[in-house]
Amino acid sequence: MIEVLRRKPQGRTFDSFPVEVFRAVVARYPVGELVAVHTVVVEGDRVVLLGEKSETSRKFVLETTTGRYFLKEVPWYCDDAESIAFSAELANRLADAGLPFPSVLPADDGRAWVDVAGSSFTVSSYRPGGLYDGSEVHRRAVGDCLGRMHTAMRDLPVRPPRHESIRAVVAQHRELVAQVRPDQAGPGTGLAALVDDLVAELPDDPGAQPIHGDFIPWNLAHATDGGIRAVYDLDNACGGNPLRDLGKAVATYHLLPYAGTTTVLRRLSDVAPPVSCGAGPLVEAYQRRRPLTAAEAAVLPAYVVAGFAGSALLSVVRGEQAGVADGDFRRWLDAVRVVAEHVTA
Amino acid sequence: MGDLNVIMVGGGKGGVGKSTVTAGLARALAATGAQVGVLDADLSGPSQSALFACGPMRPVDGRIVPALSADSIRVGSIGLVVGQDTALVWSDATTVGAVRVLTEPAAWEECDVLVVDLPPGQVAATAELASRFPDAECVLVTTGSALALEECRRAATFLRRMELALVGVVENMAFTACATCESAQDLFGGDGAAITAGELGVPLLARLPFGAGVETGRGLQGVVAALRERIRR
Repeated sequence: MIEVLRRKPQGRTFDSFPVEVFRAVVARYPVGELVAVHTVVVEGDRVVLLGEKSETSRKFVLETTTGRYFLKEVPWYCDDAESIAFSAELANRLADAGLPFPSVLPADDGRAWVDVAGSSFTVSSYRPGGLYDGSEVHRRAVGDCLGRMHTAMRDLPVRPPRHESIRAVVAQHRELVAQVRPDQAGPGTGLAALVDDLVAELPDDPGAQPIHGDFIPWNLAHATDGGIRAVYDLDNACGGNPLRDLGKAVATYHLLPYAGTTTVLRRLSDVAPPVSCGAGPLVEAYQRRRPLTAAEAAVLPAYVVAGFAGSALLSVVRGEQAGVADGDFRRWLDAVRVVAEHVTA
Repeated sequence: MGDLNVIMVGGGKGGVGKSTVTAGLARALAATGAQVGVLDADLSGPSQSALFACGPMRPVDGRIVPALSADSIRVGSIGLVVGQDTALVWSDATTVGAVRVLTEPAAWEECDVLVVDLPPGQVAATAELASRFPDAECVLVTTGSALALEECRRAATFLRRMELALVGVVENMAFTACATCESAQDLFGGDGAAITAGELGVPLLARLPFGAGVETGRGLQGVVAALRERIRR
């Protein structure tokens, strides 16, 4: 059954918070006194403004008398108690298992978050790192980390609040884009028909273990030696098939045409589709940690296509694909289907 | 920051040319042989990234360091971090954080002089900078308009309340100069800026023409001379 889509709260602005909000949050954690709130930070070899383009959650680095911590506003679409508790427990258990997840600090009431001024916040350890640079070292590190994560997650005593099949996820994206961009993707449009056909061919396996849900380049930070320093953002963590994370990783790391190092997708009409996948090092590194069964290897291409389609549909929602014709979407989808068949090559 | 000489360029009213005068002053000081840095403290409307040709700020050993412009001036600006069309919203809390990051001692250790482009109005960034640089010398930029002069007086009160030294006033866009006959036409009439400077007990350091390459340092030699008497090295 397709989960009812949550609607973005009205009236939510994305200005920064007054200092009283930061002080109120800090007061709930054993982190000393607030010294400063940073939005200008170093990430690897870049200086960035945290959350500059975020439309879902505001992020800050808190400097206190005991150190630096990462403050994150929980996105509106996963700010129910069960989801926050699950994400935090997952992060902390993975951190305990030696994986590079910043640990989520408990608040004074023992919960993994605090509610202040109408928002929910988590505070975690601060682990900055650099962005993915496209090198083979980085690709292998990504695959290795993902494989380790899935192996560890399989055995964790945590209970996801929901399980989602890849078919359900892409179907949700289809519903969302039809609501937000009815002219381009509403019922009766060519794009809607294209996605309907895609959804029908996707596996409907809800999966049996926790997965990350959004394993993309911007949710990982690399150390100077190329290894993974931190994995962020378990907001989309749920029960599912690990191939969903792997498919999305292949799509976002290798197939989707992003504009530079941003999360903005270039218009699919302006860029030629890929003719090869190039995900060999990533998938190989993954399989060293978590070998794929023959059945998984056979169905992985579908997850890669789904990873591509999901991100492309969200790009339509954000208005980045204005004017792109149905034929361009079809051209890309067909090309991704072909190259995905060789994802394990 | 021990030997760093800090000059803050303020003015109160937006649009009087603080940023342009800041850039020009930096270049004029650099022309005297000083190693000069420019700190763009106008976080919501950073302009120094447009006035200097330089790449992005890069971290060194995990610390943010200013970018080096084509004319060898070090520039620290949020404009060198974000895209051109990005609208920036700052609370007092995040303003303080950004100012602390941009004024890390290591960022300016190669400079003799740091010229700071203050934001308009009386805001948290200026207060934070005053606490970081209590020995700074301040120059106020104004035009001859009544509104700008009123804000100039208010800015002077604010700076003095923070116990910062006020060196003088610069009147920007004071007149237009004819390119052929060298005649000048006052834009706002009268000598409001001179009167205001007198009321503040400081000299009028310069009257700059409209649109005449102020950002290159032209016309700012008098300001440089007044400042150099007060600069330690």
